[in-house]
Amino acid sequence: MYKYLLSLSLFLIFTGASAQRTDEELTREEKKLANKGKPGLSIGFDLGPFINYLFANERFGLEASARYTINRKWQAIGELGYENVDLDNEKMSYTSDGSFLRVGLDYNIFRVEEIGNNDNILLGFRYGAAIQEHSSPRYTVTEDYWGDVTGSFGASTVASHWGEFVFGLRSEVLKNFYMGWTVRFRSIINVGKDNELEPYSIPGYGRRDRSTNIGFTYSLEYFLPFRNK
Amino acid sequence: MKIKLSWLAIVVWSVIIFTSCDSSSLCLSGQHAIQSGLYSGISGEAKDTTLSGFYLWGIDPVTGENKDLLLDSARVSEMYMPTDIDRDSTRLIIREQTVASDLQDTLLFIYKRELNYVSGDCGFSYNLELDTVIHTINFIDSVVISYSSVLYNENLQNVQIFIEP
Repeated sequence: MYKYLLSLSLFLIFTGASAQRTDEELTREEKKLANKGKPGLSIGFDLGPFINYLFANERFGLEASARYTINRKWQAIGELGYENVDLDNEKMSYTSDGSFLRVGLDYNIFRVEEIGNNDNILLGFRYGAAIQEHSSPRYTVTEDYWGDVTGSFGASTVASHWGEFVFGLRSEVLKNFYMGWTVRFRSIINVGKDNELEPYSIPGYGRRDRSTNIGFTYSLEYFLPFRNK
Repeated sequence: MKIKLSWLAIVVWSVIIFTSCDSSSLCLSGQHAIQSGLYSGISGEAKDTTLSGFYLWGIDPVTGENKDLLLDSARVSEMYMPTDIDRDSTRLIIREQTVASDLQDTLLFIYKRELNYVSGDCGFSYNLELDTVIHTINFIDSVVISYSSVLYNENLQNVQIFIEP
């Protein structure tokens, strides 16, 4: 829960700093111009894994994104990342190294009423796929009366797939510099299985013990506009 | 307009905070126990019965010696019988001691084990599939496997033990 509170406060700090502008009435032509949008490519970096690491330090990840703005309404996105898991508790130890790719589209439902306002309210979807090598060097099955059973699983490679719905905000805080967050409602399509060992966490998806998951991203992006011919 | 975006952010994050609080994983114990009920076989109909002065313990598979008592002079109509998850069989003894009699029977449960991943916090458990129950007949009339699966987080009776009238 603390990570969500932290995320909320971070977002409010950044959006509050730029929340002083007032609406102005635009003519119909000006509104059309304001909502025309400009095509370009944004390269981004996600802070979400770092925030997550503060509260779940058995998982560490990195994530970068490329966002192609087709027009004011549509954006195509590719997200690439890595996650390492190193879990050690009374019941088991577990390690995993894996990478993921998510691709999808975002639709901007925000109609601006100011020229130069490039903020977005986004609804979208992603298809995600991950591959990871994992192992469990030790596990213990507890049986109080007859005695515990211990064992281990060597390294194996598994692939997983999932889908996600996306809702988010994206704001241009400096010229061509965007900050935004998204909330992801994820649902597993398939989890690879090589033996009885299942992934503790799937890179790009999160904890595996839930068939649906809520995730978030907190992105910094730099926008490279395409030149008009 | 950005002020409106801030309010939208507050609403969305508030919903997430209050709907996605992590419930700490509760790991269940005693998940490898066969649930058994005692029944009277009178008139051929299964009828719950309760025995007093009831004892239950296991037999060590290596030494053949008695293990600690699981039930000690208890009054029972149903019980949990823990299984040896390091082997495919478990031998248990039940005994009824009353003023009038003192009888005991041996139960040998034979099953298949399958390792089951629960979660990173709870680790693994074993799912069992009961195959056969072999028993002596001093005060047991018969034993019926009513539900052969012993599964994590499932609470169903597996075995009916019919007591001689």
